[in-house]
Amino acid sequence: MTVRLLIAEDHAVVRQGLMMFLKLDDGIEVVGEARNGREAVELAHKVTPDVVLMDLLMPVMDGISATAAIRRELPEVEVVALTSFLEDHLVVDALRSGAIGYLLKDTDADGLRRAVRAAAAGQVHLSPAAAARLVRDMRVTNAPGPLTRREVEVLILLARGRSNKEVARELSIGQQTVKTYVSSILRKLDVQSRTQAALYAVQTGLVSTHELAQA
Amino acid sequence: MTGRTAVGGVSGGTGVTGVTGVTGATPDAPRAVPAGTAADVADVNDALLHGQLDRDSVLRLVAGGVRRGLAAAACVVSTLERDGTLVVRAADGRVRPDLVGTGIPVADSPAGEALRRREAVVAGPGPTTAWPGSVPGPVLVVPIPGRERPGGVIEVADVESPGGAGGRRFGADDVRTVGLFAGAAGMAVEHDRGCADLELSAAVLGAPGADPLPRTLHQLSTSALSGTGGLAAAIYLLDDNLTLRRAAGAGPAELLEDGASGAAPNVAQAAVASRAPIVHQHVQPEGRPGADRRTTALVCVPLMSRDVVLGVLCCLCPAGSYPGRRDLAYLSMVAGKAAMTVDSSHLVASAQEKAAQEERQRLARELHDSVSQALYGIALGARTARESIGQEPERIDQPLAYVLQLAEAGLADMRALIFELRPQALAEEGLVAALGKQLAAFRVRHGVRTRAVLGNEPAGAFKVKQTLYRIAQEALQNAAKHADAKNVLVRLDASPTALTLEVADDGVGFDPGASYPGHLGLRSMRERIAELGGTLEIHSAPGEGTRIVARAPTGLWP
Repeated sequence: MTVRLLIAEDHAVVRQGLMMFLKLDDGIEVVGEARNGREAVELAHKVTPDVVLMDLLMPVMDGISATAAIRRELPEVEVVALTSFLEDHLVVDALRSGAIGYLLKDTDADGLRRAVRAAAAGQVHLSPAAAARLVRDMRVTNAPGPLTRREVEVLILLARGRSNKEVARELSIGQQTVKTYVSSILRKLDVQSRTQAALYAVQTGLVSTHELAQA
Repeated sequence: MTGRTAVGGVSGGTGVTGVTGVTGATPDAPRAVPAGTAADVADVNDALLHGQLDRDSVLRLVAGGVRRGLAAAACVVSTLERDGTLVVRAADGRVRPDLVGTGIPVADSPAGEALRRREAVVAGPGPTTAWPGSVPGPVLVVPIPGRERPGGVIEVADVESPGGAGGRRFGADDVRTVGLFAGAAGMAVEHDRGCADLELSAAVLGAPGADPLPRTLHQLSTSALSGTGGLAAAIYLLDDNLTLRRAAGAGPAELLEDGASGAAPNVAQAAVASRAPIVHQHVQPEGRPGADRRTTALVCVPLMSRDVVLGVLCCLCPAGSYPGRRDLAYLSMVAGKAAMTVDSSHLVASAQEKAAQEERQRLARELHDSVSQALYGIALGARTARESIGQEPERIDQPLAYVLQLAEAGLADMRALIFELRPQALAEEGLVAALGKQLAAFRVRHGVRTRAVLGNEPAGAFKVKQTLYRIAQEALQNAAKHADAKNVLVRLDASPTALTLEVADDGVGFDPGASYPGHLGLRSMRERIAELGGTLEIHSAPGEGTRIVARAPTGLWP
């Protein structure tokens, strides 16, 4: 199954490089290029990609607003934030606006492919630096409701970057049951995304930052 | 704080005829001060103490007190101005009413002689006194003491002798009586001078190219002494660790710091903590047994600005004197000025810090937009090339060409950035070279065709060139980011009086009348050029491309 990818990036040279590199991967098809946040939202509506690779600092409409708009209007489209170190303070905002993954522009090009594929499968994927920053910045505001033992098991696997399908297989339960667990976990923790739930797992010591980043 | 009045000065050989020193009664048998005079002196001191009266009101009291005390027909008090002239400030008795405000000659006059000798002199009636030819008897001229220069003179004329024949000789007792008032007159004059100096330093503060902080604070410490007659004064400022550090002072520092037996630091701290002035009295045992034990007073006034304590002003009064209400009011005023000075220098420093921060922000942003992206691209390209070797070796050319192009772009960007990081670069290499570097980086980074019509380096002030350079930078960035331009033209025109920069592109254009929230570029361009007295025109419309024309005076002619 090919992942249909939309690239939103204002630097022409980086768009060009991403296209060139991702073309090598048969499992990824680039279906569109956007030069700013607004174009990203418009194109997402037009081509409905599986995943959007989103730069956060862009003219006209920034990546955070564009991510929020896409997640609101097209919930089935996942967003992976791709930024350089200048914007690492935006990681929290990016995840709040619904990005499932967060990557830094570094030499780990393989991590880029993995992140795109993981996002398509609904898995959390964070770069180690972003994970560390997140754990520092994210605060689960109010005391969450207590999780059942089963929910904790699901949360740990989710934080390790497993998809619903993988969780179902490992716990020998149905996928639909996993979905139910996940939504009750999100409700109890009062968070909006799997990524935020994963961060909660890190903060409470259920999994390590390292495990989260290895996802 | 009373003046030293010399009695029995040198006579003769002074160049001023008819002027003699005062001789007479032996100094160790002074006459008792008459009750009336004592009351007059008390009035003058009271006025000084309460600080409610200005200099001339005090001097009028002095003139009246002296005339009554010596049973004279008239008394005139004059002040010595900064330019060395004497101006009549108060007159009492039989004098022309229009005398106040007129000048008295200093050269070849009894007044000048008294000032030069710093002691009382007696002159025959003549054309060189305050009341030319109008007094029958001799004139007593007593200098008013002052800190850096005498305060002025007190002239008494036409003393009624017991016989009523007019013109008895002045004696040492008369000089002593005038001396009782002269000290007070001196204080009034010095206080007024101090205030004038303060006004002056306040005016200097607001002026561009103002004195650096330490100099201003030093001036203020000096004013604190001249206004109160203190022995030593200093201003201490709180540093980041809330420790008081001496910033400026006048008079011997050790006197102040050991003066009250080393109590100064504690008193200063107490004044800072209580946010109110403190007067500390210290009784010091004299060296000889049986001698007077004299008290020393130390005044510490906190420096307050916008309800924050910034430091403290300390002033040591001479032994045996206690600061009056007037001294305290004066020191509070000095402390206020000092606080204002420190505060505004802090504000200037933080404004500069902010500007530097913004500049660093801008450079970080520049690096992020250029070099950082180029390096990421190079990493992607190199990866692609490496994987292509295994998969499709014939297709390795594309990623390699891409890597090379990016490396070149990154280098051009770096050159332009390093150029900007060296503040002297624009001054050394000139605007034309700087614009050339900027355009080269722009061309490689954005793949936009550029044309430059720059000519030779024009004559213009550095600030003007710097501003035009920044505007060009901003305009180019807009052309790349927002206009999606294919071609850009940069033109620089110079006339003897003005420089004109034009940046034109064939991009999508925009409506210059609309607002672009969050985009400060155009506004900051306008602000920068307006500061130089120049103009900024923006010609654009959707679909029309954009032309920006910035014109500024060369800044070489006032």
